[in-house]
Amino acid sequence: MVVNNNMKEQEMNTKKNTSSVILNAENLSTYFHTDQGIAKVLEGVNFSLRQGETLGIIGESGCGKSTTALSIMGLLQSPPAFIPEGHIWFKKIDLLTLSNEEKRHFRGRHIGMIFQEPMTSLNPVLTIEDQLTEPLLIHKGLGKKEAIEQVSFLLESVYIKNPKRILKEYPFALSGGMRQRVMIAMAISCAPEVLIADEPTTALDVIVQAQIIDILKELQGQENGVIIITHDLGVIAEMTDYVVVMYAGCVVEKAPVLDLFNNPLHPYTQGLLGAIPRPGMRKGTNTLIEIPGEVPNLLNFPKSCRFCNRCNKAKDICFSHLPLLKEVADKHFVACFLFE
Amino acid sequence: MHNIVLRCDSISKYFPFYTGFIRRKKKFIKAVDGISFELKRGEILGIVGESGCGKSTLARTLLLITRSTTGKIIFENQDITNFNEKALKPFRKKMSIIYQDPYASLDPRATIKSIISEPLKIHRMTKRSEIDDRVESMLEVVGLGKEAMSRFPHEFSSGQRQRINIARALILEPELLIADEPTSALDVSVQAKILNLLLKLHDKFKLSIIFISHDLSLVQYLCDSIMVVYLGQVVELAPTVGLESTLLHPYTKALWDSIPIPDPEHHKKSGKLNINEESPASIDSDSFSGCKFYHRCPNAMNKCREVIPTLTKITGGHFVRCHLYN
Repeated sequence: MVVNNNMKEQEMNTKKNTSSVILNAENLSTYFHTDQGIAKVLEGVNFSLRQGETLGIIGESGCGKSTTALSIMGLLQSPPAFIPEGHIWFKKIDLLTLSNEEKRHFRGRHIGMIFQEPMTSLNPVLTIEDQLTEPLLIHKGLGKKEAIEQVSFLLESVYIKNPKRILKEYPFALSGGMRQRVMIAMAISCAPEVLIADEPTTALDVIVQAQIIDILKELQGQENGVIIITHDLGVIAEMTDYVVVMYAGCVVEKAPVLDLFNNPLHPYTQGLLGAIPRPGMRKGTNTLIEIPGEVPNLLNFPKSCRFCNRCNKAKDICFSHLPLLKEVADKHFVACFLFE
Repeated sequence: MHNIVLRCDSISKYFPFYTGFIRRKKKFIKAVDGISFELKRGEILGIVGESGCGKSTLARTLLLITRSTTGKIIFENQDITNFNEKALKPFRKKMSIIYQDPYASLDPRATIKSIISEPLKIHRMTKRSEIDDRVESMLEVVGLGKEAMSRFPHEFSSGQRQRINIARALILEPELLIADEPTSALDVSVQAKILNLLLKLHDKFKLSIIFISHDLSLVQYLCDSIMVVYLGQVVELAPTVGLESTLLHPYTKALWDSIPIPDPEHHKKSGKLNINEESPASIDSDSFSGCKFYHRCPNAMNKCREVIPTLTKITGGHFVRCHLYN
């Protein structure tokens, strides 16, 4: 049994290594015009998502996780947002060059998204049926009857027991966990190649969170690529293959999930991992690591390492130059002058 | 000095609502339903439960912000349940609270100095000339500089606001501090700072703390004992030392197994969680004749549907409300 599992894992790994890149963010920068100047919310973000892989993006609020997702989806309002440089390659297409009309065909069909707040992301005045069938009617050109049939099948796949009844309900009649299931069903309804989940479990209770994670895990096995955005290291450890750590709009470290947890290199990643109480840890015996200082203001940020003011290992060069991502071990990248 | 700071004796809080034709039928939402416990001096008690289980109502009832429907609240050997506001005033300064939302709990139009000094003025604790010094030293304790005094809440980050909240709660040097999800709106690195600060202040002021949270791993780290609440009732009360192996109630076990473990090499024992659906609303729970957890419980027996289980002592400080352990 164990051998079998190992073989399976190896097979999976080779598959992942050879499988093609579906989504690739290349030097992506997203800025916002504000009254006080330009806020550089994303600066030179690079990562790629392979087929069958689950990519985790982790960081604290304001680090640009959600902006990354919205940039990929083309959902940022412009102005104030603008993307001065970079590419988002979906297979051979640069998503940033598409017109609004073309983007509309792309969203939902090729890239699905699950939002954080299931209450605000469902339309309160439409029934679940209306909302769930819409993408199938538009993207797949199905008839109403066929669509309803497929949709109830989808709801069953996210473990909703009586889909016929739920389809007639309005969002307010459903609990948070049920709404999030409906959101997941909607996101996967057109079988998109990429699924982006932006904090899919943050608004939920722990038991419901565990159920939603189980459902998302089942989706991973399929051919598509998944991007999970979260601030919860537990979710990252349970679900992802490869992790991107973001801080103040920059990628500071990216690595396969085991490498990242066993050998975090960037001082920020080390701080994040030390700051959470793990099961079994007790006050007195274990102390939580504090990261001194506050997240910097993104307005008119100087050309220096964005973490330098909070870093206890900062050198002179950290205050004058922006470190670039460098591969220090196999697929393990870190942006820090300690490793130059 | 009394060894027991706070004792409550089967306190309940019912909220009435009306249904039926011309809203005549009166029903109750049992937000808190017969909770009893003791808080020792210097103890940190964690209260855990899902949203809607009555954690925050319990906090408000303990502080007599809302009055309990039945039961007794005994603070330092004195039954204060039916005291009026005037009689309560000397007790008010011995108990205080930190709220969950650092944005909503500070008046946006008041300076930090007036926010922190307000309790001092109400209780006439210090001479006017000394107020500045008190506020300044309190700010220093929570890790903010005195330049914060003349600034307004919007100038601070959420972590700093929570420090201001803590300063306001502790300026009267209370005996009892209730922290109602103080870190759930914060990022992990900020959360670590606030937790470390709370532990430091716990030692410094010899505080007794009731820490309310939905995060079991957090409570297990911070608290001496843990009280698990489900639909207004205590289902398990246990010391947190070696919690993982001593947990008994199916609900507590499910909560524990649901925590995503921040270790990629950790594999779940059971695989899929063996628990049904979501928590029923506390309105519906009124009609249950047996155990309130019956509908979701993986180990439910016939007896559970018919007989209400009682909180039974297992060992010294460990109590469970479940027929499996009777």
